[in-house]
Amino acid sequence: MAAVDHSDVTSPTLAEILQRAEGMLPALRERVDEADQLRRLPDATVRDLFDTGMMRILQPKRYGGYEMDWAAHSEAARVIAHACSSTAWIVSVVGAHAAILARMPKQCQDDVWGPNQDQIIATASARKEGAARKVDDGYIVNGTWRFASGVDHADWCMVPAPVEAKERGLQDAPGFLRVLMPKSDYTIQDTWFVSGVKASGSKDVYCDEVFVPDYRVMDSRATFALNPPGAAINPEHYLYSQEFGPYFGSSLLGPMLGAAEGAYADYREITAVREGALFGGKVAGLAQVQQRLAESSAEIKAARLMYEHNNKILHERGAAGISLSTVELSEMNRDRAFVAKLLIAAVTRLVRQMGAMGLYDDNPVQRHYRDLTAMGTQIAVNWDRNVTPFGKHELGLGAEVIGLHKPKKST
Amino acid sequence: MAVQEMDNQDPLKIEAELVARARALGPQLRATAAATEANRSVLKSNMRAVFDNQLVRFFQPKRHGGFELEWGAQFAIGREVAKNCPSTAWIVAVVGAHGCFLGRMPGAVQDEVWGANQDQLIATASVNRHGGAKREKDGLRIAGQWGFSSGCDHAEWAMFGVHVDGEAVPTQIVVPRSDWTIADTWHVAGMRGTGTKDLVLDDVFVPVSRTLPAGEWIAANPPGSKVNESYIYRVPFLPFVGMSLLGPLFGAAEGAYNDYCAITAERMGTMTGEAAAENAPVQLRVSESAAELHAAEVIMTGQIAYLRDAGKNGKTIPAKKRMEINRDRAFVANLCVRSTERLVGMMGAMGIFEGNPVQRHHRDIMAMATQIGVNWDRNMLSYGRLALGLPTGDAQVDQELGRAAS
Repeated sequence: MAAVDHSDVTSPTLAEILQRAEGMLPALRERVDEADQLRRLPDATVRDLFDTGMMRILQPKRYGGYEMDWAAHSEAARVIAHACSSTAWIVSVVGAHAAILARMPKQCQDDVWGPNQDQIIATASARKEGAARKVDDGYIVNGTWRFASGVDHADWCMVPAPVEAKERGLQDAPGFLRVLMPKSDYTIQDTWFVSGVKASGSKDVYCDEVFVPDYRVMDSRATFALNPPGAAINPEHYLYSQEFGPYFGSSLLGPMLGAAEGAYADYREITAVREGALFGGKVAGLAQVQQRLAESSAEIKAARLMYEHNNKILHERGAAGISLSTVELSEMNRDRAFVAKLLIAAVTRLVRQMGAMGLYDDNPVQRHYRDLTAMGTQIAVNWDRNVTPFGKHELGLGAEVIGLHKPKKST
Repeated sequence: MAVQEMDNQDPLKIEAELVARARALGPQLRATAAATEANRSVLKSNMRAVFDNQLVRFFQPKRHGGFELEWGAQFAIGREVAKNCPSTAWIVAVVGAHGCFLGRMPGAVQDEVWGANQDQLIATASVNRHGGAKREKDGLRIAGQWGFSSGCDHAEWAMFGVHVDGEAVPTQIVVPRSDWTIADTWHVAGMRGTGTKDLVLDDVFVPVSRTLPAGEWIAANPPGSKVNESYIYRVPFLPFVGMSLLGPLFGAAEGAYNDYCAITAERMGTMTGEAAAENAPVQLRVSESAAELHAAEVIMTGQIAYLRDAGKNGKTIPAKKRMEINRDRAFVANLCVRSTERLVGMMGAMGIFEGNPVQRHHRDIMAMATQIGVNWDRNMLSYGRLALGLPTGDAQVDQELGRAAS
């Protein structure tokens, strides 16, 4: 695949970026087994992601990025997930970290993109243990964090850290910090032995008494809030100035929808010609097989329409600079969880009627199923967490904002 | 307890003793469940423990050191093992039940298999990938590959269903390990530890003494019933056979449920820091899954009692009841799948780690549910056609009910 010349960056159109995503599919299909076995992306795939500019979709223009609209990002990941959900996860979820960095102070952005504009920026979003302690000019950070997707290929990683309890009240410090660290500051712990999206390589990171200067530490909530520090140097795009939670929380819908579409296409292709293993006969001729295919197809279509609606709202509101209300947010959270539920139901129905052939690791429908159900465990599409607040509001019990990184009770 | 002490006991007491032994093996099986998966075959040490505890002798004939237990013993034992390791449970209950597969064959081949060593796991390979058999003077000449031979790594003998000279009904043959090779095709999503690989026969001669047409083997009073006492070697086999996987399937679902409750009772959300057990929706799901498992257990208990009575007392099982048995097996499998699916999807990201027992049980249950004996469409459609007055497609059933094939 020919590399795109980034020396004088002009942003591609949506059609162009999707064409590049399509172009990656044959190679991704060839590498899916290797990727699963490596439990990280193959180096060649990372090269392809950089060469096609997939990691630049939400990167600021000032650092060689494309500053494309939200839907471009989701759509590219959706297409890539037709072949490889793990790669789509890196493009979508990890790719969105570029927008988070773009919201941070200029010095952070210079540190990361100054030396090299091809970056996979990891974040380890779930804290196992650990905290930050204030010292002169910065913080000392200790701890272990989970789910750092793509960390094997990252030069930088962000972690959320609470300020140590004894420091609170003494300093004018926020409750939860976003800490940006170069890879020399942390070590990777390989804990990623999982049933799906194996190649996302979402391992743990560990750091021990690391000094992080003040400018690479900021209030977690402020990074996602209106007009964060980075908005001043990246003023053109709404993704760097508007509230970011609704966007980031939507970043796994593209990979999930793509995985379900991929499963459907592969199922259809296999089933159209399949003969029953034990009793012979064309499976496609069976009315119940036809009916289940139709049901899964309707679910995937419903999910896609909801996904497109979600992208449209995100773009329109961002472009107009109008934040979502708490009720609108709870509706969006509800819909995202519902989309995930529809997609998992659709693909589970398909894989379950493939008989024992649906069991084999190299069956593409089985692969999509494992990836989809693994992605479906992500907190942004967790059913209880995301649908209950809407019901509560509808019943007159008030609306609430649910956010990530609510500090654990200190121990 | 040694085999001699159990010899003259009530078969139900022996069954209870074997279940207790399976329970005692639980911690060892749980500790090695991940290693069993990685090995894609039951561990040698666990296989030794299975033999030492005589867990695969429940349907082995008494004249060869077995117990000839009541039908359904494999459900109780398999269920117990599966709470900790469904793959090992499959070897115990499904492959262990092949003791009566062989017990229905001619006496001479039983002597060959069990004469030298009474600790036998008898593999089968019944799905023909390619090839077949030709009749020769005094036996069959066979070349080809057959699929789904669970436990073959640990077997000295395997039974195949082969089609001779293109005949529609296969012939059962018993082949020693020296005559077959294993093709390792078992790279799968669940039940990895069963080692359900393919077996290859490359121009192998099988003497007629080790063969039996499948029609005779499954019909009432096959050759083995002349040498073995129990009804399990004598009954028309079809309503009985096909039940063995339900013990592992149900036990895996029960194990998943138990583990889910134990983990969730303690669990604080990784990102939210809230106690998962306090959520009303979590409580509702636990209840619904528990009720499904209870329904599954009640159905199986009834089915086992019915088959035992029919077998022991030589009662004919009418066509409608046979269809109902098949329907219920598929229904029970589906209850097990749904019960576990509801729970595993709600463990958050911790539910995808391979070390999570609920996750492993879930993959194993999904894998077991693909087995043809519990296939939803096949069993449900036949019963539905029966209930709607149509020919079922089962020749014997249709003949019995006087319904012409459409």
